[in-house]
Amino acid sequence: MGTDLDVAIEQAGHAWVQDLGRPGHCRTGISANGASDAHAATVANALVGNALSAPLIETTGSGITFTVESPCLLAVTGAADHVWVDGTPQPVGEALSIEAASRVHLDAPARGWRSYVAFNGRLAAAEVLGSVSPDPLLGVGRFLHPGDRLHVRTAFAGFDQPHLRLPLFRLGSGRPRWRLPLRVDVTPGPDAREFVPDDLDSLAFQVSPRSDYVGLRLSGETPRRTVSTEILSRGVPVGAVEVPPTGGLLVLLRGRLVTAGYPVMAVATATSIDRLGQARPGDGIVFRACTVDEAVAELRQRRDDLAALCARVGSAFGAVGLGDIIDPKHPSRPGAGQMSPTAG
Amino acid sequence: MTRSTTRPRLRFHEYGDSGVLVDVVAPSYAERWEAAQALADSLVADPPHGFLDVVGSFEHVFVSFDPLVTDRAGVTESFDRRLQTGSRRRRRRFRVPVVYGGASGPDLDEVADELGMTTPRLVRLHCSRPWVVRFCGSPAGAPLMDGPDLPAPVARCRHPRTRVPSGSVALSGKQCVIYPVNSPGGWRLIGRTPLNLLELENETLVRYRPGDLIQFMPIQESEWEALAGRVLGQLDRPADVSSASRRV
Repeated sequence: MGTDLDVAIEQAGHAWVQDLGRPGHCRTGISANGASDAHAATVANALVGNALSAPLIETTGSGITFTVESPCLLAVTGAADHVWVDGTPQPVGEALSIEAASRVHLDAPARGWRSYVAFNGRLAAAEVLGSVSPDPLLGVGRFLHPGDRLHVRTAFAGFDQPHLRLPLFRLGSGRPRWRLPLRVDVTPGPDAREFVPDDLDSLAFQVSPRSDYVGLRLSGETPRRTVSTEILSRGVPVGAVEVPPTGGLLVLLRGRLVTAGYPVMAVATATSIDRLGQARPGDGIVFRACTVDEAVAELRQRRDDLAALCARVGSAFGAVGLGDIIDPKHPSRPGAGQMSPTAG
Repeated sequence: MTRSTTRPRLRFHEYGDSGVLVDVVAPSYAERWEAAQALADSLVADPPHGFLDVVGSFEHVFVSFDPLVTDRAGVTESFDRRLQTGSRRRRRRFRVPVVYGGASGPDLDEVADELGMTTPRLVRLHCSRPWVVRFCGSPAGAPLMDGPDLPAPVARCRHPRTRVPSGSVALSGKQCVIYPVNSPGGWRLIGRTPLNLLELENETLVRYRPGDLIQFMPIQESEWEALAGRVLGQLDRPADVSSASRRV
């Protein structure tokens, strides 16, 4: 059941169709990729009643403009401050009921770097190894250009209730806080003791323009390595803070190559990895050492908040007779199973 | 290979809230690599609760897990037992035709020169015996290989290339790699194979696995066309292929 929603892209900047990537192929040297701010992507899908890993639009450092040709339910999360619908600002982080032929626009972000646009339903894009995530090395991915049309299979047929103004619900997913310098929590890496100082807490860094979804290059005073032993190539986690011999730091994001041979001083926590996905060139970065227990406690808190949001979405949609547009894999549905982790 | 009597030992390192780095302690390079691969194989075949992914390399195993359902102690609890029960796999052999030098291997002459040998001698050395796949690395499952002993380590490119064509065969240190896809790269290019390594429609993605053997053989530029786009293994004898499907 459902209708086809066409989304006509008018202006796309740097945008592609994204999901939570293809983890599980490290043994074959295939990077996971997936949304750089996986939490923001997950929340956008949660708000519109989709499976949390459903395909959606990810923009990087740019705005986007598109027209929806039939009614749709969408949510925007991440860096954007507003969703402009036919010239009127609407809130981010909420499910918005959009009328047919509306023009939707996001400004290029003033703070943060990536925004996510989720449509209720299934956004069509070719899967490779179970994911639509772009991987330029594999030559896969859907990059958006002006004139492109996206197709979404949705059960949402509009919501005609004149006394209810946009947004449809106040679901309160919370707004990201953009405090600079960006604080990155890290646990110690296997090679920290080879450096002076042996932690990053007292140092300040800045995001270089030569950064992308593979990794952030940080400039700043670099800890000095006290040994010169070569490190054999080995698997590296997303979030690894590497110290290349050329100076500065390299912080690996989800597009990272699976193996590397640079010393690893620290590893960003799962929740900090998503914050790093919002780092823009020029942003200041400070590191704060924490324990694995503290990192996992923060991750657990975030999972519980997400579960509560999904439950609110389930009751709100149900209350206005929209229960049938919720995907069977949305966590508010019985038997949808545990929330999938967004860890590397 | 001489084998010592002491069993490999594992050392665990913190590697983020969702990962653990294991390094294998054993007297020889071969033992460390074998133990790392056996552990990685065992984790894929029989994953512990909360296991997400694994990379087995020369002497390390990187394991990632879901920290909301398990922890480092839980995920690594079985590792010592896995090492003891690990079995060795049958080695398969794949022939890989290579056009050496010229546009296919722009660094060949320079590398031969740096190693103090003629170009034909370097090609003969490269093909003198099979290379062993140590692990599948980046980009996209590239086979990292050890092989015939080069007289000296090969230096990396001073200026890494932004685009290395797929199929390029390259050296760095005393190791060899084949680039399965077009990608940036800093290894020195000595030749290029017309074969396809990566098969995205195939569940295993690449046909070789750690421990398999790659035998390079020189071909002429004129032979490229007839081999272009064929997949690895199509040139090998049926006997090799049938032993390939009999996993230990």
